[in-house]
Amino acid sequence: MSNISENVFEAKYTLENKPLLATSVERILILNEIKSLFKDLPQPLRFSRMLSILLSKVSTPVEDFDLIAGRCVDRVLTDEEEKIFQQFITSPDYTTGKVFIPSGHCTFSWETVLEYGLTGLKEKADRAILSSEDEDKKVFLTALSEIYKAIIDYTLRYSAAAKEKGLNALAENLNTVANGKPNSFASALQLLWIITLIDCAYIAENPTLTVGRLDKILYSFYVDDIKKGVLTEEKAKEYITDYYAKHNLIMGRGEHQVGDSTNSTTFLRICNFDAPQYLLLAGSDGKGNVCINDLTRLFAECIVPAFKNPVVVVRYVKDMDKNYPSLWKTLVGKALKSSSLMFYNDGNVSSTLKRIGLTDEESSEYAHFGCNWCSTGDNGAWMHGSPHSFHFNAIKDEEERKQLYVPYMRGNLPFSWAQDVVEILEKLCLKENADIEDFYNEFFRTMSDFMDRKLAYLSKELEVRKRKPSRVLSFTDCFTKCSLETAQCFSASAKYHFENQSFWMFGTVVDSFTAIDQLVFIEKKITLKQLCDAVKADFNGYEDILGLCRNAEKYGMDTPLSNKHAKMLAEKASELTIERSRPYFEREKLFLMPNIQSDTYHLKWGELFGATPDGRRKGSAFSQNSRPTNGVCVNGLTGMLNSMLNIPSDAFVSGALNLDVDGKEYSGEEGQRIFGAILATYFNRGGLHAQISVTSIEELLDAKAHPERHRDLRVRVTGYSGIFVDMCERLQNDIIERFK
Amino acid sequence: MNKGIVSGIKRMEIHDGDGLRTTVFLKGCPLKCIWCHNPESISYEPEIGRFEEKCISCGSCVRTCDTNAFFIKDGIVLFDKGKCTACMQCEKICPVFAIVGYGKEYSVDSLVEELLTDKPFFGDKGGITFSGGECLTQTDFVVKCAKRLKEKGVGVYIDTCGYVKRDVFEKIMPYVDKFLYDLKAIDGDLHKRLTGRDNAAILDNMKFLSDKKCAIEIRFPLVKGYNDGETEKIGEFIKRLNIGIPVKVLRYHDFARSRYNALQRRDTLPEGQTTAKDVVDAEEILRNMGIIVIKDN
Ligand code: SF4
Ligand code: SF4
Repeated sequence: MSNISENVFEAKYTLENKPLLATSVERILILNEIKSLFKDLPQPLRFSRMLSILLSKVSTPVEDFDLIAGRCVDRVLTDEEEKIFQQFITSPDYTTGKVFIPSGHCTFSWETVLEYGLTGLKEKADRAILSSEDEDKKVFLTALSEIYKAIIDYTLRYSAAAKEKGLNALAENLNTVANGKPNSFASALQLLWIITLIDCAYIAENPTLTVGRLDKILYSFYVDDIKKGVLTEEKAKEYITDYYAKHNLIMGRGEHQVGDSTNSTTFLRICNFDAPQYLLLAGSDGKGNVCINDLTRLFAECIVPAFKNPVVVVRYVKDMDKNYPSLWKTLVGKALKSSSLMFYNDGNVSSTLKRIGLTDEESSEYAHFGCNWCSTGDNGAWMHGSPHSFHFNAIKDEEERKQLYVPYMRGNLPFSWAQDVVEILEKLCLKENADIEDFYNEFFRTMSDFMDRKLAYLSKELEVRKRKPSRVLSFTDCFTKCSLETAQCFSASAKYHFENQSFWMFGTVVDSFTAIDQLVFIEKKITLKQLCDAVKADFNGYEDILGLCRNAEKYGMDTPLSNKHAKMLAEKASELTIERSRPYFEREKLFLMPNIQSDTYHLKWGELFGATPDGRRKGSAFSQNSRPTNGVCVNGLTGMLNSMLNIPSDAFVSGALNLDVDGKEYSGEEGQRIFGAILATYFNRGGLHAQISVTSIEELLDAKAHPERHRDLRVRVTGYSGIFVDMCERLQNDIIERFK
Repeated sequence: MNKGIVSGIKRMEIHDGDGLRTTVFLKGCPLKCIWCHNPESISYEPEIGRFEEKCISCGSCVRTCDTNAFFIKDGIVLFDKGKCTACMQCEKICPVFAIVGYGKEYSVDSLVEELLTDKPFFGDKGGITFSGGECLTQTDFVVKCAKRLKEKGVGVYIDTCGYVKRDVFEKIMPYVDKFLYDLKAIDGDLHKRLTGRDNAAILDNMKFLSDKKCAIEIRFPLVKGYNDGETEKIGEFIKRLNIGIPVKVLRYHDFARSRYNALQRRDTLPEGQTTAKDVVDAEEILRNMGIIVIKDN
């Protein structure tokens, strides 16, 4: 067995066999010991001091086959330790959230990190301290400097551990990383991993970190090494594989969105628990040049289907299939092995960002993070994902504080545009001569009002954030350009501030509009009143109407009427999102990011809501993300994709499409060729996204019955991959429905 | 004839012919093969299939049907096909999709338009397959559609049992890229027993197409215990044709049984199974005779 396959084996074994209750034990015990320290210090310094202690105490395990160092110890706690853990996470001194501010869902400035190295970043911070007048900024910068120092020391300890094992090359790389700039492909990858590891294993609960456009930012290191003769293609692949493998060692088992407490153990035990880390490949730059090179190919070839992380996001550039046939073949082959891999249409994402107002350059530097949301890259802060709660400390006035907390949401129920359609139906059935135009007008008025309230709220929150931006520090700030340059947290100092604006339950809404239009206005089979009564009664006693609604055209069937409504709804919703954001964008670079995501809320909210005009009954699931409702795609895969192509190609930045295929259907060279051709045609015609799960109903049912036989069965959930047998039954059933 | 009766359209067909294809099934067939796996395409008339096993007895169809083809007896919803005029109203109201209408009328324009929906996905190899039933019995309609599709640059395959007049082939030939030609048995008596018709015309037509150098792929539906004894004879026949005509052995299965019941059609499907090994054995025999065998996926 070569070194690398040992690593792959270890990662795969860990993913499948790590005990459910494994905990990152050192983190918990050390933080518990020091939780009361430094209480008088401002948060940035408290954070840097506690992190320094933590990193100086955690062990630095190295295996003989490590090419890249960086592991975290996790195991099941003893009874005594479990008690400590339970006390710790419920203690008022619990550090996460207050000191170790959750900094998940973000993108670091990886290029800057590689350009300066840890020592360079520290020098930058130290110089800035000297020239700064502002006390808060001094504190912020001092904390940054201390954190860099802590990471440097941690890396040196790792170097010593590697040396002790006789792994001299590894020790040398770690030394380079600790003492200066990375100077080779291997040391660059090592630096990226050390930072990723610390964030994902020790600091951020649910990190879902974008680990960067690695084929782009590591390319010069790779080319130099090859030129110098110190690296071969094969060796580079070994490093990449090891880098991939490492991501999987620090995960927990279970599923975080729908999972219940019986099989999911939450991020409290393992920071990274079930979070996806996104690695981006291909795409183009701001000048329209395609960024595909030898490294793109190597990163693609190294994808291990058995792994959960990193989730490789391929930024599909037009005609990739024709211009890069062998790369495309590799990617399709990996996709058909059900790898953690997704495709985003580069053109769609960047043209949408341009419509919002970003420059060409900025629109090409977007990234995706969990679960499948788009960010503007390292110059933008996701409002929700930024440490917003902490900023409330900046508000002295209790009244004002309350005001901000007043939710902009309606009632106690979460949103579902599908539910709005029902409310509009109730309203319009009282109106004489109502027509489908009225439905559109009402629907978009509701959407518009909601967006206005949301933007007003976000704007206020941003104002608070900007009052004392140097009093808050998260780990992201250490590696984000804007924080370094301004000595302020990125959640205030970023150029852009955005929040997602999702077209929740898109398929259900399209189907509801289609049913109303078809049955009431076109075929005149029923009246609005009859439809409304039936929906309100959950169709009980209205079986004929239920039958009509269910047999109406559906998004996903590729029929003219459903296509028309899909197009109109998508187009208008996107336009509205951009238009309502406009004044905020111009004033403070705040905006709503149009997307079609629902994650797994189609299940949760589906359970809460009543029937809808498409024939969906109370409590059943809505449609998921951009995908049609389960079971309606009677015209096959191409019918579904054709339907989806009605979503304009410059309207949304994200919207997951789970493509579920039976492996047998596309087996062999020819099957793979056909699948690749279908996928490429979809993207070349403007399709937004696809992530592929390959299994079959039979396999899924067998896995439910005999989980022990299917520990390695992996499927895409929303933006992340899950081990099927570790999911709760509700999610398992939904996935089975997807395959029907 | 500008109208055709279609029993179904299946997009995303990747195992029938080359590349990605859309298959259109035309209604009506002159043969009555006992193993027919498309019983909804046997009759030339539109008809309703009612899948009892899915029915929840909600009664919607009973309220909808004007001819009382659906009725309630002892609390159970029953279907009397004899009374049905195939107006297809009930199909649109069943909440659990237990009623399926087979046989929709299409004009040449409307069918061609629908068949072209997947054109961007076809690539170089894919296209349209006309199947059935016996699609060539709706001769004028199919010829017009095929001509139009060719003009649009889409490849056309014809899946045929061969039991049509010679001039039908003459008319369709210019627009066809490949014939998928069924060969069920060489022995005339056996053929008649299994399909209800003599095979002289079928063999003759195949010879004609072969002489005209048309692209042909022969399909041999293997039904263990019924026509497996014909394998060598089929091989001998193929050898007498133009060289290079390949054959695909299709494995019989009884997936269509629920549709026979739904259509209230006498179920003639053989009980025994044809195994994958039976197919491999037949393929082996043919291959040993020097015949090109295409694997069925
Ligand atoms: S409408 Fe469908 S479910 Fe209802 S009784 Fe008729 S066949 Fe059965
Ligand atoms: S097709 Fe028409 S006539 Fe036949 S059962 Fe249905 S409703 Fe009645």
